[in-house]
Amino acid sequence: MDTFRYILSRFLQSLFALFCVLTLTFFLARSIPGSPFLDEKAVPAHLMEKMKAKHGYDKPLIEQYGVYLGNLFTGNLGPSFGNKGFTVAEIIAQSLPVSAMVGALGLIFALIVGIPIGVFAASRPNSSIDYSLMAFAMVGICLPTFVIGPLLGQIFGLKLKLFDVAGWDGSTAWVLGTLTLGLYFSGYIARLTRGSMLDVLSQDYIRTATAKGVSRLAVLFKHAFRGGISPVVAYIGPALAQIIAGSFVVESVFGLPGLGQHFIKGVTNRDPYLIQGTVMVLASLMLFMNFLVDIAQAWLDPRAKLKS
Amino acid sequence: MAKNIANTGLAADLETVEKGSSLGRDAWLRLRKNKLAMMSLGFFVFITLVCIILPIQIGDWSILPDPNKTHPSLKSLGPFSSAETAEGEAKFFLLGSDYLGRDNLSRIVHGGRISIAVGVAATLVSLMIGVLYGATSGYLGGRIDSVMMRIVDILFALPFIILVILIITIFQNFTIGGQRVFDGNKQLLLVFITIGLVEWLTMARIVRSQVISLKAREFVEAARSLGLSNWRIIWRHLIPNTLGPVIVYSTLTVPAVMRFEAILSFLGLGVQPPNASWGSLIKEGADLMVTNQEMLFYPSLVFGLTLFSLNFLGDGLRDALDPKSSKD
Repeated sequence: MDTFRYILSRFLQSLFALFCVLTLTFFLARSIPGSPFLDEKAVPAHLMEKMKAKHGYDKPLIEQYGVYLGNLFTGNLGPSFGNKGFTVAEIIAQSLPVSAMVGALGLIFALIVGIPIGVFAASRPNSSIDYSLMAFAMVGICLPTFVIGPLLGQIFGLKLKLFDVAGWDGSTAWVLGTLTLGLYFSGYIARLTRGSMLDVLSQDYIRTATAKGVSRLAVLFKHAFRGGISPVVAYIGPALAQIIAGSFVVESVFGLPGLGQHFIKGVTNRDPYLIQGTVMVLASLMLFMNFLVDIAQAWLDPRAKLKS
Repeated sequence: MAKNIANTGLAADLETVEKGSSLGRDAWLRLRKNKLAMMSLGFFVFITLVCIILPIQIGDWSILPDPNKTHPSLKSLGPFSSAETAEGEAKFFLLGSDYLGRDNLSRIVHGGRISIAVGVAATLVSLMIGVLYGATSGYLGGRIDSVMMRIVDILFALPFIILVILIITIFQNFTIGGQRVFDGNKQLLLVFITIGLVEWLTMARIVRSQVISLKAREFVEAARSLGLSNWRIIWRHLIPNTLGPVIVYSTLTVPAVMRFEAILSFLGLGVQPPNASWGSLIKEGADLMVTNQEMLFYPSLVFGLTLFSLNFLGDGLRDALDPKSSKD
């Protein structure tokens, strides 16, 4: 029952957070200087008035906000001024799978590579294996995404000829995009895992377990792993924000038509509905994942659950 | 009489004991034994001093040539090349010149100044907000904690790159009387304040979760039963015990901020040309890496080594500051 109430309250809080995000984005997007109706050519005043009236821009901002919220409930995200003939909902339907896929693949790659490296390094602290693994992790952390991307393209495409760089067809962009995005996070996660595993391994109960004669592997995975992995799970939440930032770069380097590209275009084209729509989707994704992370953490470390 | 002597003796003992075992001194002694960490500290101090001192200009005289002066006839020179400008002036390029004939070394040093400044300043901003916020929230608990963490959640939910991009775009074009307010280098101010304001969230969460598990310990109960105020318990007993994770995370925040700045430069929102940061130099280099490898190599090398040193320093500090590791 307690757990159910915890989950429910977390869920309601997430909904409230989403509302705040939508409100903040609406007013931020509307306060970017410049008008979405301006063109390269001068627009006659009467046409401007008509266009403004058509999209409700002649009403006070608060009223527009009400209309926007009302439209949301009917699934109407508005038109995109920058992409004539497309609604924002259509653009999102096309680009969300791309972004979600790159982000998810990058994160999974990072977890699969990062956690074992971290655990392995922590099991042999200050050995040469530890140092070289951490050096590798550091290389991933220290190189900016937009260097790794083109470098991978050079190495795998031009030198090893594994991919056809000239075409940049789907698969190339996917694989290299995932690698580029995942390398940074695998390094980060490896460091985080090593650090927290070392913390846990220096606890008394681990010494007790070793003294009891529990094998080294069992100590690592049965006794230490659950506690040691908790900070990594906590990190997934904030990592999502960085994955989105990274995917902006990856999408632009490899020409993947994802949400990030559309958001940037929305900002440069003064396309308020597109900005609001893309931010809404990205924020919902993040809120949902954070919600899952909270629940996972409460399970891994019951002390973290609401104590009072 | 004898009692008095005994008392003063005890007081003196306590003082020496306290001095000898202070957290900072202990940590420093342990850090000094860690060669890698000391080398990293040395490298970071060195690179910071270089970036502060070398660009100093006294009147017209400066150690390094103007980083933004272009030489159309001296494009893409290799390292250690001496050449004459079109005006017949002798020039020496230690690390070669870029695609516009600008001095690579000078650009890297000037760019480093900006990168390090943004990294350190934004981290300090995030450190102060995050630690105080997280510790307060975790210690007070209950409804206050709940509300404070919801605020963090809400800020988390707005992917901060989006927040930063929106805010920079708005203020970039913000004019008073036809004059842009954040012009040229002032835009940098905008960048680091915005990054600092969004980067404290993780720190707050880390400190909070540390404090929550710490506050159930006996020493906090003891402090409370001695009648210490909440503020004093947070400041003297809880925050020092969270220092290890905080320092490790801070050393990861500086490179993270530098990377963030680099991403903003990549998207055209960071440092505005002709000025440069390491991020924008690497971006320029990556764009031209097929034709001019030097432009990518040197900034990447310096950037990478700086981040390396910060990370290894953080590791060393972690070992030095963690009281548990002093057991063995």
